[in-house]
Amino acid sequence: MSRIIQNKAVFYASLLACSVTIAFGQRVNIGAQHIAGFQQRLAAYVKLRNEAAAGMPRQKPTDSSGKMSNQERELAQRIRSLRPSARRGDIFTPEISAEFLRLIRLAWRNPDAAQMRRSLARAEPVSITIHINDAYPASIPLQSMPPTLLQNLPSLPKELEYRVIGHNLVLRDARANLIVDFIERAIP
Amino acid sequence: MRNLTVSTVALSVLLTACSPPPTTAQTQTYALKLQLPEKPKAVRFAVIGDTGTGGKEQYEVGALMAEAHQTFPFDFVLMLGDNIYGGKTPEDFKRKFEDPYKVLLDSGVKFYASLGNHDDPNERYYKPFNMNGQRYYTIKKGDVEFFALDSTYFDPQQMEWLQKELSASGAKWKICFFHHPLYSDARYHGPDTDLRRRMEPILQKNGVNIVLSGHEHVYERIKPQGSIYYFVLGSAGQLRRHDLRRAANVAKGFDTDRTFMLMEAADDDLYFQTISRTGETVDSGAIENQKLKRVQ
Repeated sequence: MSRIIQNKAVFYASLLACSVTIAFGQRVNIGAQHIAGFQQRLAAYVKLRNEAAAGMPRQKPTDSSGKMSNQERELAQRIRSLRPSARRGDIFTPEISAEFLRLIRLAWRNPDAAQMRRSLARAEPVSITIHINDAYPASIPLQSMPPTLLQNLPSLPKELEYRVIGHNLVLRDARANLIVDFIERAIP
Repeated sequence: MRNLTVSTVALSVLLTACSPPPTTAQTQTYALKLQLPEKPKAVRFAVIGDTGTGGKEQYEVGALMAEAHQTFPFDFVLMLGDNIYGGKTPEDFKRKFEDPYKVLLDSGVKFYASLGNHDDPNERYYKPFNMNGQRYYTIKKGDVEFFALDSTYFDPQQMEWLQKELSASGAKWKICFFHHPLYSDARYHGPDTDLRRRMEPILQKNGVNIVLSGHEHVYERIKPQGSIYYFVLGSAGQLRRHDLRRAANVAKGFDTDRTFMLMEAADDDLYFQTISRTGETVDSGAIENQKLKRVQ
């Protein structure tokens, strides 16, 4: 676990490095502000998602794979209807995207990078065109995430996960199998 | 590790790169000879990986497993991921899981799945996979505790959970199973070294004995790494013929047909037998519990 703490320390230290002095003499940590904003947008998404799920039966293990996929589709449809005009960049705003790109570039420069690249290459990379509010196609493998990359990214609420699709870093609603947002060409 | 006394059929391992794939007419079948001791109170189970194709060979392996179950009544089956390839409709679940293992399912054999990159993570809600809605979970059977992991998303939360669960476990045998291999000498994917770097220290520190993975569509038993025995079995449905490289750390390999494995944990020993689709025993042996040896 000390490794995780170390990595988190590197992450937050790198945010501190972004601190700049702005007008009025106030020292504001720009990186931390962007992360806080990102987390607020994630929380807003989870709130909307909970509204979408209201009234639906709680997902429980079932013998019926049909029921399972129907619930997945219904939840996705309800989320879509609550954010019909969702666009790329709603959650990954340009500012936080720049921060992610910086973090990923940093991760790609450290000694673990070769292993991460190999890990991605061995996880059956896929290259498909993706759109916000699309379902991830069931017939296409979901590329696994290198653990080192996951350690270097801000944590997410349990409803969401990071995935790599092609060179894009994707925010995916795991239960609804929905592409919530993505950063284009984030992965070198 | 000890070899069992019954000799096994010579393997085509690693040395068959130039031989053409056998046609159906050439395929030799073998009378199924089980070499497991069937000790009283033993924990008996089977292992399959990369199964969910719905192809003829998956059904043939399923039928052979059912035959083996008659003389070696294993209670459950571990699934090493890629349980359902391609589409995920109810028809797919039937054709790629329920039908190939119907005899076993009807006999009350339980299946415990882990997630592969071809699986929808929501398969964790599919009751016959016994994941109880969890991407990672534990099962305790007698002296053995099993840790099913999600190697497609080994995030800090899962890492922390694994450390906690393993350190709290007092089981005599600790067996982890998940999709991506930490060691493999197959050409197509190879090992996931980033995953190994993050996961292996936790496994070693907490006395894991056996690690079972799939992803590579071959069978491999890796020479022990520290005190951990690694098996790769990603050929219970899929097969990548002649994919194994000649490598120093492969104790045994088989890449010319589909396979499944039977295991029996009894007291201080864990016995295993890997069987091909045609009934050939391609590997077998017994693993002594090093931890217990050290304690004694």
